[in-house]
Amino acid sequence: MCGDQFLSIYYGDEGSFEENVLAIAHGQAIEEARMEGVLETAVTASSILMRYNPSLIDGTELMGQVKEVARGVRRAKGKMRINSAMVTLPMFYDDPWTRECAEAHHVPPNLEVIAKFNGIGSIEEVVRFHSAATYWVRYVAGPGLVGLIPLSQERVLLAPKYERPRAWTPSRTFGLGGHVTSYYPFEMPGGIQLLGRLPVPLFDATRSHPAFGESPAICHIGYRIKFVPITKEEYSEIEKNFQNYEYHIERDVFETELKGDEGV
Amino acid sequence: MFEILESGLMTTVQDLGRDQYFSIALVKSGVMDTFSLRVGNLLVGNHTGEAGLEISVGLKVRALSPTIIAITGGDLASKINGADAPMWETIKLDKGDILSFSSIRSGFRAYLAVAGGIDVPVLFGSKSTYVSGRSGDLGFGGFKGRPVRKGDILEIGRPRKPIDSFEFRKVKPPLIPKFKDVWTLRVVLGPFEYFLTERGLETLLKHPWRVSYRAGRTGYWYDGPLVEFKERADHQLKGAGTHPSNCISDGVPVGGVQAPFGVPVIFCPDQSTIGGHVKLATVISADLDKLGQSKPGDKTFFKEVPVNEAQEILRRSQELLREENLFI
Repeated sequence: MCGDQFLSIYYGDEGSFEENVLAIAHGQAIEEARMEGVLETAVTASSILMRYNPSLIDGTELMGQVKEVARGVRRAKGKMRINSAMVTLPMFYDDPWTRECAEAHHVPPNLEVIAKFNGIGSIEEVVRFHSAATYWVRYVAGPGLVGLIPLSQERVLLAPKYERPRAWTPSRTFGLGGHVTSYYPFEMPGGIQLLGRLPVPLFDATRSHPAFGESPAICHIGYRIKFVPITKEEYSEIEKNFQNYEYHIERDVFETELKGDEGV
Repeated sequence: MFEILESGLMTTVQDLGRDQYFSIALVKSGVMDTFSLRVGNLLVGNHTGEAGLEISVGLKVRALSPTIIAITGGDLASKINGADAPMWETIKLDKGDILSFSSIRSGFRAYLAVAGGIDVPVLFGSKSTYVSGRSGDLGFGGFKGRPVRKGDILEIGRPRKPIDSFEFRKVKPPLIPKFKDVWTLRVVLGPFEYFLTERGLETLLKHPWRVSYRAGRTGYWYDGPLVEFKERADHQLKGAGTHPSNCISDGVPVGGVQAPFGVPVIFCPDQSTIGGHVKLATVISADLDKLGQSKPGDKTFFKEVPVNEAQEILRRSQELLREENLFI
């Protein structure tokens, strides 16, 4: 129970991929079950928050229904199916805006920091490793603020956080903190090492492009993402023709085998 | 139309906020005291969720056209052309009238409801302002995504009926909330109150907390002793932070109580929907309005109630809002 209108459901406190997959799969099953009195279901990294109308359903009864749905998902015996999508994003790595931002905050170009931290010889190689991986949207921390973990990576990249947080970060940038790649949709403070900038937004409150018709966000929890490095010219070209830009989003089902038998 | 002559501490356009966006982690925003806005709207013939102004002390506005209004919420010594303005009843402003809110008599936030509502674009199903950024200019919604400033002109929507046909109504005096400076906020404990030591839980529920001067629309912080946590279990994620109040970020509703590093804070409408510290309790829905009227320096007690009692209190408070119950 979480107050008089919310339920919290937890899948563990280790922050593992398994917890995340379970939470997402259960969250989707709960939504599909369309339970009476449930107003909203939101999945976070290792938990679900549900809002319900207490005059339509009793919280304890709802908890029972949720557990029933969860049992149904578990019966699939380790194999999890998640409604997902593969999103391919053009990224201008080592762009002039993040470089300028680093300079303004008196720190070295962030890709150099990442290269050094991982003992990699060049920025180009960091970009090659980063863009070779497929990423998993593990959580959404705010409007458009997705946090990604690599699903498969030829080489694990890690990055230290800034010693002193940045006052500002250019909009539409991705950065790396620990092993998590995350997004800055708007100009905002921050503290992780910046990787590059997108020519197109992933969150648009005003829905100025048809891709935002269903939702103001392109990337949702449980989606996969691939970055394609682009040049300065390609960046300018895409940015200029934003209205005609076609987002590469392929809806599919993601399957994974889960070890162990995590309870709810 | 209204012209802002003085902005005061912070005045924003707010309605009841944005629901249904937890899954994209969009802040709720909306008024801190829903009862006052709803009643104000009923007094001026609006639907209860229409947008009005949430006012902190210091606001001064001029009516640029005849307007039906109601002032509710905290008593900020509101005056029309320098004479005391009545609260909790329908009033008419003439063109040129100046409405001011000069000092706090009781409560913390006053509400101005206007027949027709404040006319700003609807974003995510709401006209509420989300204030963000150090200079308050990184937000969205409401009037240009920021608090109002001197010189702003606020447009008003079309009233439901012609201005001369308005019924002037008053709220029954016993139903007008009395705001003092000592509060009891009832909470439903959990899910993680057991992260506290016995002494920590006692501190949370017994100490007379002071509303901190950092309290605002993002969160209400409280001054007092540190709330004591148990040692963190070994298996818990190390990256989540060193203090045992940390956890893997999860969804937090408005009213959620955390104690990062032992200092209690209640999540308010402009706070992110996600928090990285364990939820110890949640303020019951019926008491959130009280939270919105408590001011820095006020004393606050947290009192535990069972969830079914909280829901019963919520039902009763919703009954109160029926028009036939409210007005003289």
